[in-house]
Amino acid sequence: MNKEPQEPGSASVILIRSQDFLAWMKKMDACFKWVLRKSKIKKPFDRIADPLFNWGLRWSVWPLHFGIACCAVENPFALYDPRFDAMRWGMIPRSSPRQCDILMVNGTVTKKLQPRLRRLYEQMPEPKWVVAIGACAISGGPFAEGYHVVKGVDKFIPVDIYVPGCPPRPESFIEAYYKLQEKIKKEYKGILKV
Amino acid sequence: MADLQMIIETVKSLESVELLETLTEKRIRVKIKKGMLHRLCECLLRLGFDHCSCISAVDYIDHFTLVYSFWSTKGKIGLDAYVDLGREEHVPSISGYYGGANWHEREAFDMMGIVFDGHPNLRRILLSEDVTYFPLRKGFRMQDDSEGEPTTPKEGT
Repeated sequence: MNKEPQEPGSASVILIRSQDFLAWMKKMDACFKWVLRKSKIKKPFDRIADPLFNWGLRWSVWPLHFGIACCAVENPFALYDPRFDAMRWGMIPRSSPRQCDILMVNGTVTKKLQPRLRRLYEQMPEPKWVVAIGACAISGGPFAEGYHVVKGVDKFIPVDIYVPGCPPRPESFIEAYYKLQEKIKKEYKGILKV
Repeated sequence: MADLQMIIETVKSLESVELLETLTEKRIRVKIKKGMLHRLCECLLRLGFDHCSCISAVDYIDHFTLVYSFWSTKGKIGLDAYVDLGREEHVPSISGYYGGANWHEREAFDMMGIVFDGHPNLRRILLSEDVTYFPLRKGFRMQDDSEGEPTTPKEGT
């Protein structure tokens, strides 16, 4: 069977180009790491780059808003409105876990939901932080005695910041955001280790 | 179109159907035996009851009661059918007559453990598949762990 050679469509061209680009990036990355390892510029480079990267991390946390229950109305729907305006701290809500830095869990996590939430957490790239918002996400809240309730998000994923309240006001989440900034500053997570 | 009087007479004419009460002009309650369920469904479909709005199960410790709610969208008349069941008894499925009853029956199975014979897909609908207990039964308790927190379910009476 003879097939006529076809012009590649735009999508396949983008795919081929991006594969080329990724291969090129990998080569560049390896080259850069080799230079850092061999030469003496690593120390002065780190002195400039580490605080810069950390500053960038602190002021551009992109949250994955995992709104399960009523806390999702208070935080973050109210958080992004003109009154509280979370975007002035560089918080841009994203809908894909692969683009996010912090996971905001607000609401009751059921046993059926647990593996899905775990999977979303694993899809997020490092460095990542988890914020448990509201009594339900912290400990199960008023539904803790239920037959289908996971008693706290920290039973299956590590939580960095707890925001108590039922539901918490947006101001308390702003406070939590400053605490998270301190934590990012202290931990220096996500810095290039060569 | 069937009016209220005609519906009452037709339902009464079925054997072993007991008319409990007529609450208002728009609401009828009947009590039937579980073997009559398919006959009742055929009859109701002829009378214009085209919607099975709810199937709820009630636990009376010694027996279950299923409450079927039918609704006639044209006549605006509701009919509740009460079916008594033993603890271990099965009940015929009406999902062949009312397609919407499929999910209601799955929910009754999920929460109360009532088995519907002839159901095309009797699986858990709200809880996950590996759950072994029926949480809305009266005998259901959560067993406490060492810290006094309710963790594992326990089936009582």
